Amino acid sequence: MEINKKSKSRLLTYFRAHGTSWLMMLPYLLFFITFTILPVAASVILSFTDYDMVQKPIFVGLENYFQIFLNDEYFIVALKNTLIFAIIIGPASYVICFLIAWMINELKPLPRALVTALFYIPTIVGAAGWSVWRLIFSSDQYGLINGFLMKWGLVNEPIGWLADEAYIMPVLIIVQLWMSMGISFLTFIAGFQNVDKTLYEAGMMDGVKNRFQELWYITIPAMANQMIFAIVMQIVNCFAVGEVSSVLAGLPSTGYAGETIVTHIMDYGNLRYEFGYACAMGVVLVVMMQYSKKFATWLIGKMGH
Amino acid sequence: MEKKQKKTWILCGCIMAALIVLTILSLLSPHGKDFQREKISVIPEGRLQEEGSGILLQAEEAGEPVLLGKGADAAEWKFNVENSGNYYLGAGYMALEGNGRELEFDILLDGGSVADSAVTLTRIWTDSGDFRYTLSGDEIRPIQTEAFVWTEEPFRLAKKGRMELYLTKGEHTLTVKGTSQAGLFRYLRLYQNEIPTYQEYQASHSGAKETGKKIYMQVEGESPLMKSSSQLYAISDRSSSYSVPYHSTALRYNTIGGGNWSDSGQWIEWQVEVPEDGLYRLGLRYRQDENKGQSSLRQLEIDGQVPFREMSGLTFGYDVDWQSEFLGDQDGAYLFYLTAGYHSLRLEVVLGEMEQVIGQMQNTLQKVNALYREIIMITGTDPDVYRDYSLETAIPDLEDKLNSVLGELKGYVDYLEGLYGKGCYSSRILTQMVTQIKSFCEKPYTIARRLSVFKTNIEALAEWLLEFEQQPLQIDYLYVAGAEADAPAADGNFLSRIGHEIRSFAGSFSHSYNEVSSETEASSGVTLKVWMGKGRDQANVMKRLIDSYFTPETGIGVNISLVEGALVKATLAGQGPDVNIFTTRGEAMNLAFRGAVAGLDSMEGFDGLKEQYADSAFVPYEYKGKTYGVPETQEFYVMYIRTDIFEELNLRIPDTWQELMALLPILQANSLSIGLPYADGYVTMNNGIGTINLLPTLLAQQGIDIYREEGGRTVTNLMIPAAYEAFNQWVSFYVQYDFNLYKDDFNRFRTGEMPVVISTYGLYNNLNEAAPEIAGQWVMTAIPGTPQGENLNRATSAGGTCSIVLNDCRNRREAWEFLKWWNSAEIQELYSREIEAELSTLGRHTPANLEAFRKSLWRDEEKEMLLEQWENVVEVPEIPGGYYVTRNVDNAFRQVYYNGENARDTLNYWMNAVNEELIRKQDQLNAKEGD
Repeated sequence: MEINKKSKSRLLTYFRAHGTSWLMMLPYLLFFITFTILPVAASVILSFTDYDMVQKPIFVGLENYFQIFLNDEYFIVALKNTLIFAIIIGPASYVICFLIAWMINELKPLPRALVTALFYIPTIVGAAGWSVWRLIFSSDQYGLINGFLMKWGLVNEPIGWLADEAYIMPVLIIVQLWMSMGISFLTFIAGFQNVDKTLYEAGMMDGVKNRFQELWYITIPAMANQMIFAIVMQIVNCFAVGEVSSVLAGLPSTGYAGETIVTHIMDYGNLRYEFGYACAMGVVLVVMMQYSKKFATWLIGKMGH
Repeated sequence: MEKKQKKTWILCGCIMAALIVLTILSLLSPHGKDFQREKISVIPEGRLQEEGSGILLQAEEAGEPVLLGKGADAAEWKFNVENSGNYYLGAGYMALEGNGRELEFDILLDGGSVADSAVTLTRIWTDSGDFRYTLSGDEIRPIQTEAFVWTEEPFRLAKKGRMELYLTKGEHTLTVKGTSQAGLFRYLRLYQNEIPTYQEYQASHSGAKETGKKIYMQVEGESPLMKSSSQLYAISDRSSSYSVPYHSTALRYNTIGGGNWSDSGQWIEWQVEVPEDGLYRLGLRYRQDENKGQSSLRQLEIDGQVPFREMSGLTFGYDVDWQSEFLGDQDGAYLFYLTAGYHSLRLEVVLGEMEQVIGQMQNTLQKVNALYREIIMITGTDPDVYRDYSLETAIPDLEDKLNSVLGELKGYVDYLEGLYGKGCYSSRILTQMVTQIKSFCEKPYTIARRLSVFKTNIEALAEWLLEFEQQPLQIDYLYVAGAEADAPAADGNFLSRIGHEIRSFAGSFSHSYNEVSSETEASSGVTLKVWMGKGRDQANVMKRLIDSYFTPETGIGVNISLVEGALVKATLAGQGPDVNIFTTRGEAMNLAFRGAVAGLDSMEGFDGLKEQYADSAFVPYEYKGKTYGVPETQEFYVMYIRTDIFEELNLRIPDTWQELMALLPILQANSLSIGLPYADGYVTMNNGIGTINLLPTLLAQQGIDIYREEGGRTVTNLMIPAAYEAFNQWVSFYVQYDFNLYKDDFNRFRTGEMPVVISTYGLYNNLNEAAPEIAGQWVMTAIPGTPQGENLNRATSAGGTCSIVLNDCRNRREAWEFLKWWNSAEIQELYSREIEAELSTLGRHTPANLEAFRKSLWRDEEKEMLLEQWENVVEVPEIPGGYYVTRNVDNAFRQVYYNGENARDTLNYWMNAVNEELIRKQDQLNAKEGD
């Protein structure tokens, strides 16, 4: 009885002190729990079951995970492709974005705004842009590239850019590169704007000789936060590549040449009604993302020091 | 600083206040009225003009009208002509009930046929019943029905307007023979159109007084007395708040015509009552916003007569906004003499002098097409750009041909520019063609290089010509007014337009636009939730059928929602419908395997329904001895042949694949090709494997099933040697004979590049409707077969949709009742007829229910051909994991096609994967069922 009273009063004092904060957090908290925590928790739980979305899930233990790593020959393909995306597009697009942002930063405000908008458009346009890419890389003779190549006599037969296994990945990488510029680019521009101008003057006094030294010793350390944000976004984007593959190359693509983990999940979740297995792959993907983020953050921390 | 802030605040306040005032004003501004329509349907009366001018040819025998039509004897008249000249031929007749198409005749004058195409007489259509309302306040269009009345109409040439006969002085014979449909005839009348000028018309009514009082009578365009086609139905306009009736959110069918009212010879007739004798002005609120830069022509008849010459070619110019004005010229509105009482006003689409020009243009287009074919016979469709084909020597009269075409095209450009001004929109495509042909003449060696652009230009020209003939006009209402009355405003001002937009935007939050709810509460208290993956037109037709036949008979209410692609997700979430119609077989069966769809076999009346279908029809919807869907459509392959090209090259329609391949050298020598069906597997996965490519068809012709039973499980049969043969045959079409994988069947068949195309029968409708220049030069026939002993196996695989009842449905008996009703022969026939009445052949629904199909609108010859092919349809069962076959057949095909890999190994590799998946899937499902 005594204890109960005590704990009750403790709860009361806690709410007296922090109640307002909780109240103010409530709306967000509700949404966060409903739309983020619950689905994630549910998919972790479902990953241990056999679930076809109609009948009741059946608990199968780690079977789904065994299946992923030991029995699914296309998960390996998907993993390989996802890593290719992560390794090629991640750093490439990151570095390109950074350099372009650095250059654009030197422009006057109006042209800078225009060029920024130009680079950000792919991200906004997104899905609408894909139909253009599909036209460009169309597998028949009316595709823009095929038409061009045939007109100049470079090929005689239309190339199946999105149907032939050999070309699917390169095409997807080009398109994804185009799409992935936006967010990091915007972050970098914001970062450049935030660097304290006096630091450059101080640097000059301390013997910075050229723009590259300025960049390495002053700019990068000063905008470390933006750089970390950008790399996190970039990695999330790279691991989540999937829609571009399913829209352009089809779901699944010829011989699974364009399969990524996300399209593999879509295949099992949407087409094959094996939701438990799809969830298990989702969990694996999240774990992978988490560790690559840690690695990338560590790497950024090393820069400029 | 503070002062500046204050200023900003005041400025913001002012702007806000102004915006609020503007909004209120715009919401209060005038707009059209909404009203429940009066419940009066007028029964149209026909009009015979036996006493009219001209030469009357009596058809009655002993006072009884004579029957003319398909199957009846030809009728013959002898008559004497006093004045040479052009005559129209009219008929006093009543159409007999048939399939709703126009009456077609073959007319001979002195033994010679008067026209190349069919000569037609129209049927008279009318709205049956009134506009009705759903519970949510939307209007439902009345049904289009035929009015069987005695009337006089001129004979017309299909889509070309009235037929003219040139008669010389003296004795003539006229023979009329029916070729399609039938009617009863009282007389024929040959007459010349003598129309007075406006001056003469005025003079003849000089005694009449002007009706000075503010008389104003309005007729709603969407409620005509009668019309020449069932496609002239009320349509909805939301663009203006001045259209009547007007409702900011609910659906109102407030106008008529538009794009549907654009073929020459189509007419709509309204009735108006005027209070007193006198001179009136006539006006209308209209819009022509479809044919850019071009005017639409109409002829006005009052009580069957064109009052004066100006009325035979009324022009309505292009404008995106609504117009409202009196008919008149620069001197003011015309005055029409009307007696007190009812009068009919008829507007008919005419082409005027354009008719001749269009005929010539079609001629030129054919010449250009022939020229193109002549060129590709030498260069091929994909010429080597670095080679000089010396076309001018290879085709000796090339230059003359080019020049003659060029001259003709230039003539048209001049004519159009004279009409609509220099550089007008209509002449653009012609000018483009002129420029290109001119440079062809100058530098013939560049023709080969620029051939693909030439082809694009030809296609554009053909398309434009099709558009150019069209004379669309949308009418909101017509008005008859006294001389002092003003014409009503065409549209509101800026404020009222804003008000309209705000109201509709606000209303869009509460009004459901993709649901067609019931008209009345269901008497049984059961209302079914039905989803369909089709358009609003289809839903409306269904709704009308339900409200007319289903709900009154059974007391079951039905709410239709237009939902596409969300069935599986919604069902899984427990939010699905009771019944889903037009379901793809993939969706239906994937739900069925998992127990989400109700089995139908034990339902009352199922067996009776099943008997009405082809044997194959239910195969895809059967699983483990139960049937889960009722087929609605069954689409299979047929072959299309360009008979003109076959004649030119002296070819025979092939019966077997061997014969088809034997044609290939001749076709390829002339740079022509054959079109075979191929679609990306993943795109059409839910439609089943049948109509994605040719493999299932070839397998069926070899008598090989795609699946077989092995150890209690279903596995693929594609690893047996005979299956490999079929696969190899299919792949070699593309690998060895170089057929195009991706192509546009319609356009290539139309230009003649692919005189042989294998596709589903759906292509027939496109060709029939949108390629008039090749009418009569092609046939649809059975696909080639594979000889099996003495017999020829012409099997074809198929695709199609079905109706299903979901397992969650609480009122299963009622749902089945609905399903049975919807798939009954009677309703399927009605539905296909009405949908075609509204959407023309392009929207044709071909029912899988064979009893309904036998009564459908296909022509008899084609119906027989399709029925014969129907018997040879082999359907592929849908099984769990069946998507894997579609997927891996495509994988195997592409690896062989693109990478040139060994066909046998590749097929085996991928089919092994199929079997693994199939077995895994079935074990999974079986394990669950065992629980």
